Amino acid sequence: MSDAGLARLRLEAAWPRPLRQQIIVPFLLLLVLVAVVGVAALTYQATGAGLSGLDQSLVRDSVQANDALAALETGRLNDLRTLATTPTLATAVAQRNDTALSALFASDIKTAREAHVVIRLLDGQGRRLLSVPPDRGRAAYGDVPAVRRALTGASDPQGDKYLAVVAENSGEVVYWAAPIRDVTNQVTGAVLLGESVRDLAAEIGKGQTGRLFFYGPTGRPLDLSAAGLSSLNPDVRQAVSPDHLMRVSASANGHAYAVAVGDWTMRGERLGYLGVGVPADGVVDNVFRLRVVLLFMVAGTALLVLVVGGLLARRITRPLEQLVSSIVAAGDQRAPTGPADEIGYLASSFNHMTASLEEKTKALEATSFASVEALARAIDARDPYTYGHSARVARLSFAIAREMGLQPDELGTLGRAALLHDIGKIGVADRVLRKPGPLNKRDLIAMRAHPVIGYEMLKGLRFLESSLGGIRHHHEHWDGSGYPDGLSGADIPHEVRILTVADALDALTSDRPYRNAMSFSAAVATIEAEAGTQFDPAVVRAVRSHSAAIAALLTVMGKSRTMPSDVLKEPAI
Amino acid sequence: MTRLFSRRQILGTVVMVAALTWASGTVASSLPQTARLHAHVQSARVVDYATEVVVPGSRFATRPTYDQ
Repeated sequence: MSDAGLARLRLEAAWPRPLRQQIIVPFLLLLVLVAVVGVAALTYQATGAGLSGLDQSLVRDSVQANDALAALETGRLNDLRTLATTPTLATAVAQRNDTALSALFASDIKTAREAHVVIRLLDGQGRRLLSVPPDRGRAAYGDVPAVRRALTGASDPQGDKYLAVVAENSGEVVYWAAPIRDVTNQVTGAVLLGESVRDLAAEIGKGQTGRLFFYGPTGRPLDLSAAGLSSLNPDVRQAVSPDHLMRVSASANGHAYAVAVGDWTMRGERLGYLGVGVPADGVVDNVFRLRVVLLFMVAGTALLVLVVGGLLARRITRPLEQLVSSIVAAGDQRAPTGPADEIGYLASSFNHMTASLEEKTKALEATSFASVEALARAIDARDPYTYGHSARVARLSFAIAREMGLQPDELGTLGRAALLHDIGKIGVADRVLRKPGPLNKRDLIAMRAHPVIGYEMLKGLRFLESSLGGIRHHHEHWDGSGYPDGLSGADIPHEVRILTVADALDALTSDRPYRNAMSFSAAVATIEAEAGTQFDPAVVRAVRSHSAAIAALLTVMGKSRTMPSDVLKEPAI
Repeated sequence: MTRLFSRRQILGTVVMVAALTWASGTVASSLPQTARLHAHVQSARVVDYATEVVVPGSRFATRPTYDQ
């Protein structure tokens, strides 16, 4: 069967999704589901496993970081005490003597820069008197609670030195604050020793493999140099305790880190969270390689599903397509025998069903045709002079048609038309049909109606559809003078032109009430005389060229050469 | 016999499956990973804020006084 035929059948059968697709697509979707979920799970697990390999390093670095932080805190406190107890400082602060203060701390500028710290001297109200090294920090610190307590000389079990994290323009700064007392122990001002969180992280992180991240109490990163670092979520913050770190994955400045988050405690207070990050780029690389391998595996599997699945599905559905093809193919209603499975059984059943239908259809058509033919014979039998006429016309038509080279299907059409061409006479009254004398005008009209009557009778029978032309037009003439439609020349169907000649030949060689039967040669001569007017010249030539066989056929069919004498007296129609 | 899938369809399907797979891996690798580690990391060193003793070694100890 052609592809166009199958395509047409698919359209007719509303077949938008071939069976093969219905077989393969679910497997493909299943593969996608397994691949997506499986790869996600494997990636997550592999990442977690890779990060857990860093746990020992994280714990070790966290311990070291906290020790380093304590050491730094101790050192800064010692520096603060040194600064706060500077001789004459209290007097200079009380006098707000900028010159004296600048002279006092002139030698500390370089040291402060090298140590990445800032010294701020405040008056009694917390206003800045001097910054070492000079910078553009805040003008006053009186609003910072820890500074205010230092300015008031308040003391708690930890003493009168305090700690605060203050937001400056350059970022978060940790300040140690101490009161400046004069000889009477009165507080005249305060000294702050500050170090930015960034520098704090850098200094503590010296000598460690990882990087430190400081977070505020809300989990917000305080070190602005760690670009892209995420805040700690509440679950992590709540899980952190003095005995427990939380390992989280993070990324900063384009690098992946495993970060151990613990408390950031100074002066006995939790200031926020301290994260010690170990580079996890190696873990990320390993997971990336795993993902690439998984990707190729999944893509290859998808390709296999499509190709191998397609071949398997094709093996299953091909017999079905052949079965469908055999239905569509003209003249072939047998399905090829398939494999010994359900589809093969279906094809076999289809063949049985088709054979049975063909047999029944042929029997039905034969029965129908026999009924109609019997009716036609009955019409012939109504007139003793036309008895056997239809059968003879059929055989003569066959003989002429073979001479003219008609195809088998045209012969079938011609044979049926010849047998039934006069069936319309059933609608002609016996008075007219069997009238021995000449027909008047009214009788002629009635008689000439029989082609149309026959056509109307049989036009509903599908198996006779191709023969209806012969029944309606067997009285048409080559020159258009015939009836009922006045067709002429090639407008008259070819087989009908043969039928017309055969009809005339049998009539001329048959006895009639008003004349004897002509001899065959006389009949042929009469027909030849009408060639080009009543008959198709080509058909007449075929009769002439095949005259010997046709004459023999007429003899076999028992044509009588004499007519009863009483009939001879009757006039012709 | 009609073809089930064209080459373009096969290639497109494989690429789509690969893209979905890669995307799922990307999402999974970016999910936050947390684990609890048992460790006492707080420093055992005591930072004494209350003392007034200045230990030698401060970087700011060599400062002249104003009235000198």
